[in-house]
Amino acid sequence: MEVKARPPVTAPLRRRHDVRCEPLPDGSAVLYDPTAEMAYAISESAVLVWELCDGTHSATAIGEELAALYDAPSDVIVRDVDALLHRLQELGLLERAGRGTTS
Amino acid sequence: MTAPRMRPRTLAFDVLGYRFAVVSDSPAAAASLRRLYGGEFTGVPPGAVPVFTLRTGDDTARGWQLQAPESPPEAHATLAVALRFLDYAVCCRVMEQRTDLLWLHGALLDTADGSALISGPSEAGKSTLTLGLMALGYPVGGDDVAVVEPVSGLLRAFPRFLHTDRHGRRLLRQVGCWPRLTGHRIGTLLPPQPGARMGPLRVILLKEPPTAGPPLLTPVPQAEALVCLLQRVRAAELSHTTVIAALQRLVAGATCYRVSGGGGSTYLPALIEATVAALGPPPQGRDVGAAA
Repeated sequence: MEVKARPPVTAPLRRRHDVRCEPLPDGSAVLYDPTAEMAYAISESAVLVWELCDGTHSATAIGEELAALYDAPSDVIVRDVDALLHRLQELGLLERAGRGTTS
Repeated sequence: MTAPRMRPRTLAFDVLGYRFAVVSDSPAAAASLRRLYGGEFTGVPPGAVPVFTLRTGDDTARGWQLQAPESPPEAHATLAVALRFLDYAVCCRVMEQRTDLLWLHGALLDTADGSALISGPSEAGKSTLTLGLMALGYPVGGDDVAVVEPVSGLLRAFPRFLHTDRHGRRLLRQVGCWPRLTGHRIGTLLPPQPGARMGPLRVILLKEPPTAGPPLLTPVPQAEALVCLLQRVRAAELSHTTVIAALQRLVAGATCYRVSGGGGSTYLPALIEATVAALGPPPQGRDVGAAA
C-alpha cells in the first residue's frame, strides 16, 4: 500500500515510442515493453489516459478530459490519473516530454 | 496377485506429430493408452521412433516397470501411477518437439456456447473443480495442458489422464460430485475427449489456490486474463509478439473471472454452483466421462 505522498505529476508525459498498446474487445489493453519483455494489463479508462500521454497533455488536462467522460468527482479522477501516471512512469513506459511542449 | 499379462505388444501412436511406440505386456495398459492417444498408426519401421516400455513386474519385482527412451527404468506400485508417469513423459517430449505451439497450464471443457479454460498455478484445485463440473455434464478435454496453434488460434486439450489427488477425490465424493464413470477401473481417469479440438473460448477462469471461505468469481478485464496466461505459457521458439497476438485472439471472445475462496468440502458445492452460473449450461447429449 502506498504510504508516502508523492508530488503530483506536473510535466506532460509521453508514451515511450517502442511500447505497444494491444487493445482487447472489452476496452482493456495490454502494454508490452519489448526492451524489458514485460506485459502490463490496463483498464479501459487507463487506455484513455495512455492515449492522452502524447507529450502535450498535463496530468490535470488528462484528468479534466476524463472527468468529462466519467460520472465521478473530478478531484477523484485527477488523483487516480496522477497515481496511474506515476505507476506508468515507474515502469518506464512513459517519459517526460521534451522542453517546449505545452499542456 | 499379479496383473494379467499378454505377449508384449508394440503400440504406436502419433500425438501432435510426435511419433512413439509403447511396448507393453498388459492388456489394461494397452486399452487405456489406445483410449488416451486414439488409434494406432502403422508403417513405421522398428527402431524409427522412440520406444517406451511398460511391463508388469516379475515374481521378484512386484508392481510395474516403466522405461522411457534414454532414461533409466522406474518401478511404480500401480499401473495407474505408471501410466501417469508415461503420459507425463510423452507430454514433455511433445513439448520439446513442438516449440512452434503455445502450451498453457490449464483445464479445457466444453459448454453449450463454446469452451472454457480453467487456468491457475499448481495446487490451485483446477482438477477438482474440473471433475466436479464433469459430474454435472460438462465434457472435459483435459485438466492440465492446453495447446494453442498460434497462427490459426486452434485450441485443443493435450491428451493426458486426469489428475486428481486423494484429497480432491475425497472432497468430490463428500459433496456428491464424483463423475459417473464407466469402463475398466485401474485407477486412472480419462477425459471423455482426450486431445479434442475445442470451440472458441467463451469463459476463462483464473483459479487461485483455494482458501476457506465462500467462493468469489470476480470479473476481470480481458487484458488482465491475457497477462495471467502469459505468465503460464510456454512457447520456446515464438517471439513475445507472436505469443501476445495469439493470446489476444484467444481471450478476445471470452468473459474472464478470477476465482478465489471455495476451499474445503463446505464451500466446494458453492464454488461449483458459482462456476456453472458463469459457464452456462453444458452441451446436450455428449459423453462426459470414462475411467481407464
